[in-house]
Amino acid sequence: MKILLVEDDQEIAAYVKRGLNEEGHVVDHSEHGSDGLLLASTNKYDILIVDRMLPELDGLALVKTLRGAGSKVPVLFLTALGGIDDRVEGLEAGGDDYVTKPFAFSELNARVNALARRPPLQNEPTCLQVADLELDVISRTVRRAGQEIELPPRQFKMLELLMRNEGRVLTRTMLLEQVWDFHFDPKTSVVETNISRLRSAIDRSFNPKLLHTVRSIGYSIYESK
Amino acid sequence: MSPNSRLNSAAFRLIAAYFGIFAVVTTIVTAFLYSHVSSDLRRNIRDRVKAAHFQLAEIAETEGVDALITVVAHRSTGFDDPLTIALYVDDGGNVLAGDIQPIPMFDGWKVLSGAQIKFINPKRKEVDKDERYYALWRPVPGGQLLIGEIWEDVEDAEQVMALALVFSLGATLLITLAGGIWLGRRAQARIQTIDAALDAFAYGKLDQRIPLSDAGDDLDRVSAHINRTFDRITALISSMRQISADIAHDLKTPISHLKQRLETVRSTATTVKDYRKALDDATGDIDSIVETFEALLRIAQIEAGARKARFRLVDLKDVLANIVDAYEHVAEDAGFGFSADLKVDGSTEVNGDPELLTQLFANILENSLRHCPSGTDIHIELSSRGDGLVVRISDKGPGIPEEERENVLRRLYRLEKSRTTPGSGLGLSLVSAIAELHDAELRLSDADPGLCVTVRFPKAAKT
Repeated sequence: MKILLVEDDQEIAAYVKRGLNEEGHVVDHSEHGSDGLLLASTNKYDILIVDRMLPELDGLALVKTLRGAGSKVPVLFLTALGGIDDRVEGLEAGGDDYVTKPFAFSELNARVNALARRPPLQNEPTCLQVADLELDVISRTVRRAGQEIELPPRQFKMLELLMRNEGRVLTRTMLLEQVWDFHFDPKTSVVETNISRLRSAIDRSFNPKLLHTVRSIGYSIYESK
Repeated sequence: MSPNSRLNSAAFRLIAAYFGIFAVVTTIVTAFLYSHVSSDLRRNIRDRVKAAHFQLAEIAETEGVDALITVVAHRSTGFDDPLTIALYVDDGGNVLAGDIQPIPMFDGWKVLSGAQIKFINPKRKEVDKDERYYALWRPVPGGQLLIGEIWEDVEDAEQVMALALVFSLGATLLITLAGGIWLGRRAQARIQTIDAALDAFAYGKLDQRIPLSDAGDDLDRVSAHINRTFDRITALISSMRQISADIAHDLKTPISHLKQRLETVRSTATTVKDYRKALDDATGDIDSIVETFEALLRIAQIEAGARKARFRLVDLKDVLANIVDAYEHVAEDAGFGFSADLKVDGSTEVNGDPELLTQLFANILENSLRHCPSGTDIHIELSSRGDGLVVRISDKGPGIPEEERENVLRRLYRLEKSRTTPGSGLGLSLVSAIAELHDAELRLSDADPGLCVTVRFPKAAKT
């Protein structure tokens, strides 16, 4: 993928760039908001990673301008520590997701992958399938090998997210935000517990196992070959 | 203080304005008095001249022209004061009698200067050239009669009066000005005291207060108000200082842990596996430091109140249902008894920020989960009381001693016995900050045994 990184902090930029390169992406880097805007409007990128605070033109204004010009490229904001309002503003300005600094590269990578997969402004499919596991968003039913499985609402939502991102890792934080709207880190094992419930519902009496734990990063659903 | 700034001071400007108004009013009053008294004096002199003329005219009418000639002629010999004059002429202009040399005739009132008047009787005093006579020349039987009276009295009186008035006006204005300046100086001195105190405070002298006078006037009230503000600021600053010190202290421990760990690894680790484990541990330490920072920043941001702009109608029941959903399995797996009763009649809507409300309840629950032994019952209940919605989260755990309940809401405060359990000591202060932002009443009480946290929200007004 071709990614534009607009970040004035050299160290963070180098860290992100190296990581994304290792993942096989092509990364353009710009230190200034105005340069970033120029690059973004003259090249075709798959994803923009934009810091909220930038010299000259800040990230928010950059994305607003791009969106105003009709660009639909997915935008991931990097926001400062504790900046809860920054996050809301970022999303309102047209950002698609955000990562709070300091972040682990695995978190950023998972979000980049999830964003890249999300087709911009298109209807999402309502029937999802991974191997013999099926999920119907409309009728809210889940079947494994034709057998109906009952799930509580939040576990259903969690499974839906995992299946929409089949083969990609969803981090613990992403699940907390998208399933429970928790924008903080609970000290207790909310995600782990609910994942283990979900796992016993969809995987325990079936083979192959579909729900995988990616150690110290998150969870992913796929059929291992 | 430079003369310019003195002129610019509010007190002096006020006094100058006051002085100006006073001067104008005094001048108007004085001028009115003067003109009133002086016209009164003139009227008197006219009346006297008229009366004398009338008297003599009557003599001519009743006793004949000769009688009048005798009377007037008698005047010219008998009088030696230059106060009045008389001249009787026939219609041809020939002098019949009189005490002055003939003068050109006129009709009615006229003011004659001293230079025009020459007394016939040489014994009478010379008339001063500056003197003036107020004279009336009117026909009487047998000719025309002139009667005049010296103006001296009126002029003297007017002069005295003018002098007195000017003097009193001057004195009044002078006294006013002096008093004004004195009062202004006094007010200015007090304002300067306030100014100096504010300056000192601004430069960090936090114990600076403005001394109050006994007057209890507006300046005192303002001063007292400023002093109260100083008190509040001082309290806030000292609490900030306390927090900074607490933060430094709380972060010192994990940071020195981290350092020790890294040093140990450097000297003892030999395999990649050792290094990897050490790095994982170090990352964990750093995560917890970042977490503390994040929680502090979040509290600061919530207390700043900016999020209030984003408040909307939130169904408390939905928020709690989400919390119950997230935590019931966690609690059950950890061996807690977990129950919830969210059945409420009527609206369960409040004005708020769903994200923050979620965190509020999550923090209370996590506090219970962290500090209660496994097997403890935890209960969440939503109820409607009057115009409020009450959420009670109670556990049957060890509880918090009554004297400590206020303290646990403070930042970084942790009970002695829980110093060793993980946690930042920020969970409940975040709860307190969020509750305050929502105008909700937060109360910690004894669940006998255990802790009961009650949050009472005002119901959203029906629109």
